[in-house]
Amino acid sequence: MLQNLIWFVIINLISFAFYFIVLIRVSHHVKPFHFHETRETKLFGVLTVRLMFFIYFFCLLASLLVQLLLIFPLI
Amino acid sequence: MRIAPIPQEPGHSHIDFTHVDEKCLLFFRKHGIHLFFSLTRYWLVALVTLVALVYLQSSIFNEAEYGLLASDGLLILIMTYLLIVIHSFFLTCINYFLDFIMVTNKRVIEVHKTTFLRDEMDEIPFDFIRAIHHEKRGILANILDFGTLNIESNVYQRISMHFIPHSDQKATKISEIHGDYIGIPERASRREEDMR
Repeated sequence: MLQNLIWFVIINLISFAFYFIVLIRVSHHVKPFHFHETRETKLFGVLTVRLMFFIYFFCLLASLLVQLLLIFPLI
Repeated sequence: MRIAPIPQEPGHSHIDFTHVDEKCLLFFRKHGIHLFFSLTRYWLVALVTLVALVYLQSSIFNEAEYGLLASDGLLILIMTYLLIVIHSFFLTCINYFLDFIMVTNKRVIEVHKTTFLRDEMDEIPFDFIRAIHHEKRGILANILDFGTLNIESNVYQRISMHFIPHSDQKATKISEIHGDYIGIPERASRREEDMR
């Protein structure tokens, strides 16, 4: 159990570190015109790159919960 | 002189240019179907995972003989697999937003960029543009209204942009902006309309 927990922490630390590397890279190393949005350029009329980062983050949180349930099953 | 309206919503990020007196007249990305095709492998992964889960549910889980599935190693492997798939999926989505085509009052700019591995930019100044044409091929392209836009220059440079939404309208618009730049008078059809 303890070994699983250690692996869980390591994998998720790497995962969130990767997320923040992508976030920093896209926010600082990409020119401002990449963020230029018009009604037409939004994916399905709604999704922007900023919104995509929010969804990305919440998916990582959801996967964290799923992994916790796999390690510590309720039943 | 006819100037296309600037497609910029108030309160959004500004656009920086090397040329001071340059402004954005047209800005667009590829059609959403391009992202759908880019994500094909993830749809396949999701399908395979679903089939595997249904198989496991009907065979191993049902008979309660977990065997290898009860091992810690497999659990860690599944967790890693899940995270790699999530990261790859969202990186593909974010990379979609980093490709775009921009038409300013001086040039056409096409940018191909990915988060880590690629950063390319092509541009054709309006002085060198020789021809602008578009094509729509296939049932899907005609139903969803996307196509290929080609811009050729005098110096044998060519920008081919695939999966462009409303490619016919975009070609017309670029043609108009180009006409304004090089000083071509209004098209004959428009003159006729004005005379009526």
